Order: sequence, then structure tokens, then C-alpha cells
Amino acid sequence: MSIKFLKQKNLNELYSAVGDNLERYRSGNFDELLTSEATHEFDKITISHDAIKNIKGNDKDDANNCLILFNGIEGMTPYHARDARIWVYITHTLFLEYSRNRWPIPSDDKKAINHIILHFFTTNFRNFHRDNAASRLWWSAFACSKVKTIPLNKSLELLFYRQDVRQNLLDRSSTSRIDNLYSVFMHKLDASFQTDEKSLFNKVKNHEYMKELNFLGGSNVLEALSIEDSAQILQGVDNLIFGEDISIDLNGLKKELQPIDGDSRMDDSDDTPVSVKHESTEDELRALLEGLRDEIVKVFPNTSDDKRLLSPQIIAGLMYQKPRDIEEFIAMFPHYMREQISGEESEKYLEIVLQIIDDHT
Amino acid sequence: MRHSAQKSYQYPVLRTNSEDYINESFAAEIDVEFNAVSVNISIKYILSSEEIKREIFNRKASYISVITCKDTFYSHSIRSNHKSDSIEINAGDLRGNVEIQSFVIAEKNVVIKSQNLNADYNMFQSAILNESNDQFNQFTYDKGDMLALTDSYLFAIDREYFKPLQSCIDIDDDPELKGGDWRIDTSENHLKIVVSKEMKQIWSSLSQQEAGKAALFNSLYFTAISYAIQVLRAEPDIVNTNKWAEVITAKINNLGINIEEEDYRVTTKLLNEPLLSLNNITYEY
Repeated sequence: MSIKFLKQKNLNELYSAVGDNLERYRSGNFDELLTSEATHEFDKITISHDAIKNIKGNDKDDANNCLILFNGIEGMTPYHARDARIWVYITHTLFLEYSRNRWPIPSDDKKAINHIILHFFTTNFRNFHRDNAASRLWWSAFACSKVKTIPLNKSLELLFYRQDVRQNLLDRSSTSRIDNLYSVFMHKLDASFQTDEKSLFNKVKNHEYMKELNFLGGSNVLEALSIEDSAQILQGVDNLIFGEDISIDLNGLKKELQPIDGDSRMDDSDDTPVSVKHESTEDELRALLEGLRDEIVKVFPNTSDDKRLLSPQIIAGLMYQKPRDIEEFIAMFPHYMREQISGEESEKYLEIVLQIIDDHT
Repeated sequence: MRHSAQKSYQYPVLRTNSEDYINESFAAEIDVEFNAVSVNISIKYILSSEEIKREIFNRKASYISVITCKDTFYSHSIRSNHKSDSIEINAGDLRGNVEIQSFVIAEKNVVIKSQNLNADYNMFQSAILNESNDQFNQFTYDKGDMLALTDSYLFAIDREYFKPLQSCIDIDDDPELKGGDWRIDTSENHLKIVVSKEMKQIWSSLSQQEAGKAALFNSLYFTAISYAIQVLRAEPDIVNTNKWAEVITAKINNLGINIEEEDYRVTTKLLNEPLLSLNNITYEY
């Protein structure tokens, strides 16, 4: 069936009316609003409604759902997959039930609005890859599909085995854009996955590993490296972080697999379970930050509300961007926001805040 | 941009605003043409250093250009020993900002001997090599080292970038504002011009006619965009979070505007010389 997408005017109206439509998001639907007058149809992209019906569940099912969605849409290019009108239509129709189950809408109306904007809309490029309930599945599968030497279901399994690894690889580094380096890295993930220790999936080690790789990217043109040179660079990182090489078969990296067909789809009968570490929920993280905010108020009772380190605006920003260190905090929060924050509060508590986020995302 | 003139490298790198090489330069002339099917990029390398050119000719170094689009996970490099190169990219692979940066990379260990290499590096290496050379400074590069790099070239592909700039500006009223008082809000996805109820009515009426639009362009919109440019310059990261900043940045790149020019000059170019639209206004004396 040809894919439908929203007219820009209707998307803008939907975005402006999130607060008015809370009940539709919680338990209703958008059939009255998203009529044929509100949409266009594009026959160069088709979507299998039957396949999409199998998308369900929670974070444990992400890898499987990625595969179903990616295989269920034909003709989608990265250009189209960056079009908000497509994904917003899908989250409000075909994905409505899945989206509200996967990302339960908070009971507090104000929190609910922010939450809906995050998971039902796309406001910037990070949203596409990370937050929108539908597009994040497609983009994760697309990133994995770039590794031509590992079956897509396997690389998705590797990517989602730990949410930290997925975030480090897709959201916080350029590695996934650099084909040769990325392929070698995914083979190292695969090799590590086969071991008991699964050391490359260790949260701290993986973070250190990716930081080192980003550092190397500052003085080398990683994009120009061959498979062999990429393997040599990563071997150096292996030795630095683990004291030994994560050995891979370079010949295997040169044999491209046949394109994915229906047989390689995962389905309910697939006996390879996808094990995923449970992330803390958004609500848990928010509760921790609000708990710390109350503690800070006791320690610094005289700070004015607009200068609080954990003011409502800053907490909203932290929940949205999830910076895990000072560097990310500076990059994600514009100067005008940072300069308002009380110096004594940030000096004493900013690192603790970032540590909480690092521990719970 | 990971590689820049401001960065310190462990070896001399020919680039703009750096004294690693004296009186030498490296740049790339880039031409981008795109249609619904493909994006065609032509690159012409302009390198002054005869010594580095010789190593490229001898296949000990190469020109490399890296094309990156972070929004679509796209990255591709092209390598050449000729002074020009080109690439055709599927239009479906790119969206948003696309960056091209060019380099000269050592393919093997290579020694560059040049009068124009900063003498500081010669002293450093002479100490290691235990030799000196009065006329030529020299430096040994390892395989993979960067000999030269250009500034980044940016362009953008998105249907929104070709819409009029006012498509990312909203007008809103605030009952607390009176008369001609107004403010600009840059914190949201769209740039927001907030006016009094009275002004909002005037705006509605002016928007209906060409002469009115011309007046708005040269007053509210011009000022709002000039202010937005100030904010963008002070907080470049805002481009990652606010659509208005993304659209303005893309238009600046696509039109080849230097954002370091004065605000009013940048705005004049972005709005395509709006003073000319005043011609639509008929004066009654």
C-alpha cells in the first residue's frame, strides 16, 4: 500500500494542539482529524500494514520491531526518512497503539505534552534517530544495514543488546557513518558477544572505547581508511582499553552478504532471544532529578528560582538531551541557559546530575 | 567540523590561518549541482606547494575529499592524484547539512623538504635526526598523516530550505504587550515575533496586500532575522535544536553568505534585498 504522509499545515495544527488532544493520545484515536484531506499519498514508497501489525511490545522487542518495520517499508530512502510528515502520520495512525504502550504517557498533563512531542513528533535530527516511536526503529535498522557482512537481524541483536552501546554508537559518535570503520567495529562487537565476558558491551569500557575512537578521529581522516587500516586502528584501541586485541576475521569482512530477504526476518518463532538490559524509565530518571532538586534547595535556600541548577526548564532539557558529561552538557545547552545557572549550585551538583543521567540511560 | 585551522597537530599541516607553512596555501573549489535524482559534486584542488604536489604526482600522497551528511549517516571519501575530481551521489542519500572537507594524506612515509616549512619544525626534527640543513627545512610524515587540509564547504538539501524564510517565523500576540511594543522569542522551533493585540491586527491587514508585505519585510521581519543572526552567532549549537536556526544556517550556506558580515548585510542577502520591494508601495501625498 502506498505510504501516506501529513500535509505540512495539518502537521503544524497537530503539533500546536497536543495539549487539546491529550485524551486522544491516552486512549482515543485521530481518525476524525487525519482524514484524506489531511494527507498526501506517495506511490514510490509502500508500507505493508500486515507486517506493521506485528510491531508490539517494549524495549526487549526493539531489535525485532526494527527489522519488521525496515522490511515492511519498501522504497524508503534516507532523504524521505528525514521527513517529519511521514513519521508523524505513522505514529498517529498505524503506530498509535504501539507508541503509547512502548512510551507510556505520563498522567501529569504538562509532562505528557513534552513526552508526546518527543515520541510522536520529530523536532530535530536527534529525534528522528532516537526518540520518535517509529522513525527510531527504521533508522536503527538502516544504520545496521550498512554493515553488509553481518546479517541484519544479527547486527540489530548486537546493537540492542545494551541500550548504552546503541546510544554510544548511533547518538554520540560519528563511527556509524564511516563504513569501513563501522564494519570492523560491528565485527568486534560480534566477536565480543561470543565471549562470556562480553567486554565491549560493558557500559564503562564501551564509553571509554568510543571516546578514544572519537579522539583518534580528531587527528586522522578515519573516512579514508581501508578495512585493513581501520582494523589496525581499532586494534590499538582494543589494546589501550582491554590490554588485548579483540580478534576478528578480516576475510569475513570482505565477503558481502546477499541482500536481506523475507527468510532472514525475525518473527515470533525465532528461537534466538534478543536480550536487552532494561533502561530506567523516563519517569524514574525524572524522579531522581527532582529528588536531587529538592536536596539542592535545602543546601542553597537563597538561590532564586530562575537560577536553579534543576529548574523546570533545565530538567526538561536534561530529560530531552541526556548529557552524560560536562562536554556534552556544554554542547547541548546554549550559553544563555548555562549562564543563568547559579555558580555555587553547578559547582557542587552538576557532576552529580550528569552522573545520575549516565547511570540511568 | 573535526579538522580545523585552530587545531594543534603533531606535525605541520598546510591550512588557512596557520603558520606551519609560510606563503603556501591549499583550497578546494567546489561546485554542487543537484536535481531530484542525483547530487553531482566537482572538486578542483588548488595547492601552491610544489614539494607536496611532487609527492602527490609520485603517488606518495593523495588528495582526499570527505563528504559527510550526519543526518542520514552518510559519509564517503574520494581519493585522487589529479588536481580535480568529481562524484555523483544518489539524491536519496542526503538531507540536511552536507559537509565537504579536502585533505592531502601521506600514502607512504614521506619527507617534505621546503623553504616554506616553518623553521620550528626543522629545529625539532634536526634534533632527532642530528643533522641540519641551512637552505631547506624538512619534516618526515608517516603513512596516513595529513599534509594539508581545506576549510569545510557546507551546503544543505531539504525542501524547507527552499521555502521563503518567513515559513519558519510565527507571529503571536501577548495581551501584556501594549501599542507598538514587541519582542522576539528564539527559544522555540520557529522564530516567534510577539506583538500586542493591536499590532497583530495591523499585521493581519498588512499581510493581505503586496505593499503591506513589503512594509512588514522591511520592519518586523528584517529586525527579527537580524536579531536571530546575532543569537545564532553567539550560540552556534542552537542549530541542532531549533528549526529556525537550521533553516537560516542552511540558507546562509547555500547562498554563500559569510555569517561574519554585519547582521544587516547578512539579513539583506537572506531576504533578497527587501528594500527593492518598497517599490510596491504607492505613496499618497
